[in-house]
Amino acid sequence: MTTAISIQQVHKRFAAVQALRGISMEVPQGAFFGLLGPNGAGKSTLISIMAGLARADAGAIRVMGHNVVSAWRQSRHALGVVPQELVYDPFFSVREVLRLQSGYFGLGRGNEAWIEELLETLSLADKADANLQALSGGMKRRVLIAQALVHRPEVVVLDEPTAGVDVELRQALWHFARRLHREGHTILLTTHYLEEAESLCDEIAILNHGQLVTRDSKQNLLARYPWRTLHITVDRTSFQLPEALVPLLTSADDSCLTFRLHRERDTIGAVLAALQAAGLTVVDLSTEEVGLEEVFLRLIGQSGEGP
Amino acid sequence: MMAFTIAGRELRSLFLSPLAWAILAVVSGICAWFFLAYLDFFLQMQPRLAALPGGPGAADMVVAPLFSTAATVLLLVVPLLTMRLISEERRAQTLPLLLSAPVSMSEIVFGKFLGVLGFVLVMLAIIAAMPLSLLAGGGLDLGLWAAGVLGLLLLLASFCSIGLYLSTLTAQPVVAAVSTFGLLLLLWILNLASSGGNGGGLFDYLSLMSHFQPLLRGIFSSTDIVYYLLLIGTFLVLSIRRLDADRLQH
Ligand SMILES: Nc1ncnc2c1ncn2[C@@H]1O[C@H](COP(=O)(O)OP(=O)(O)OP(=O)(O)O)[C@@H](O)[C@H]1O
Ligand SMILES: [Mg+2]
Repeated sequence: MTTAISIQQVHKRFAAVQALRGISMEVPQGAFFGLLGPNGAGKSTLISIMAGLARADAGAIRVMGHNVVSAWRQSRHALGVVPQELVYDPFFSVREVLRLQSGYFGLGRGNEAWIEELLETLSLADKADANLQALSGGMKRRVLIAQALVHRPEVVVLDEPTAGVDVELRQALWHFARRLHREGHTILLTTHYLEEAESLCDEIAILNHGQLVTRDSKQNLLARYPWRTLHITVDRTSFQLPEALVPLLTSADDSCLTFRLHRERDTIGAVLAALQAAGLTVVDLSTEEVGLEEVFLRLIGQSGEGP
Repeated sequence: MMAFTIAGRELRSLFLSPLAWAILAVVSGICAWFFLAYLDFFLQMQPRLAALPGGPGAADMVVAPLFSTAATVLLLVVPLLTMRLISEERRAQTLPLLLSAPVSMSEIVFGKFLGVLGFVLVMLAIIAAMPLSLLAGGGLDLGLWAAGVLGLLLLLASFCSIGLYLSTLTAQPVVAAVSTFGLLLLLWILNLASSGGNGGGLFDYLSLMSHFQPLLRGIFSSTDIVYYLLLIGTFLVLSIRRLDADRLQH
């Protein structure tokens, strides 16, 4: 598999903040790649450097093999970025904005059909002649997505596309992102919704304090933590928990107990048996498989406050 | 060329903004009014002037004062046109959309410059066309007129270039407008300040006015042309460097 985005030892410092401290990773072509990290981790900074909006202090980024500094024309042709902020030019209509953006890429009338198709797919067709100012936030977000795709880039970067978006649009965006991925685009997605990353991405990198915490496939990442969570409600609020269960307990709130079980070592049956032996009756029970969220929090916690 | 795409967009957005239309109307109105006033004066004086051999003609009595007035009026309004160029995009944060396209900084700067210059040219065309009506009467020195138009064109291009640079410095259009106006005014009257003291030669050379007036009198000197071209080029290059430096910081 060839590399869509290659990042080598990228450092970036803003006046007071070291935003990136030597990030190196590769995004394979055709991947649906999740770039995760808490606020201020440096995700948007990394994306800005890819797009040529900022320049790295050291290191290099290549998009489809083109260095973003020395071969910036080719690399920008290969890349489409949907920015995190809702930015728009208040003077123009949706269709005009797309035509202009298409013009910046040197595409003329020949691109009209694609623009119409984008308007159609992103359900913007009936708003195509409306002024951008008059659109709702979700609509503006879709215009930004259309703008990023207007030159059919091989690599599509979505910087928190679903922030502040309603459930319906979020579903639509997921659907659209999946479709782009199926059609062969490499997708880089940043998001704070871990379940979103979990359901969409096949490869994941986690940044914290400008450093790469981990970079692995989703399966490996999830398998790294062979834990699951067991919630049990018992019939009493004051009781003595059996000695054997104490190490497994993660929280207890009146009659609700939460245990963390190792997938191989601990069984639910053993827990129930122990509770029964202690004379407690189980009223309710549910289990939760470990999710990306838990893995994420754990990794971020381990990477600590940073150097 | 990409610069023309950007220029086209700039021009379109100018024509979509009410401010630009208001400016166009005001400038045309004021200049037309002055034109009629100068014309009236010239017509009153004409019988007496005609008696003088080699006396001033319509070009001296109407065109030169009209273009001179137009220059002053445009000095006031060009900052209002150039203020939006970069700073408005900065404020609206739309600059990244442009900067992440495969367009070089020089194409962006040159395109923006051409766009606003295109709008200014529309005003110039309206002003320059006014004295052409004198052709009907048979009394206009076209050479003088052409030198005046060239002078006005170079002057306006300098205004645009300076305004563009100052709008790259700030995210607030009003600040860009005020500082452009200040700098233009300073450059305009620099030669007045110098008239008495020493160092007058330099101030005189730097002044926008001292290179404009010869052209109005029909004196075509390459020094004046070079001065304007250097001025325009310098501020365009400064704008490119400024935006490139931005990339390093952001
Ligand atoms: N233009 C800038 N000037 C100064 N500091 C900046 C600038 N842009 C980003 N930073 C700083 O760099 C760090 C990384 O910011 P960045 O926007 O990349 O984070 P992020 O991972 O995208 O966060 P979020 O999830 O909130 O979008 C932050 O500490 C931020 O304050
Ligand atoms: Mg961000």
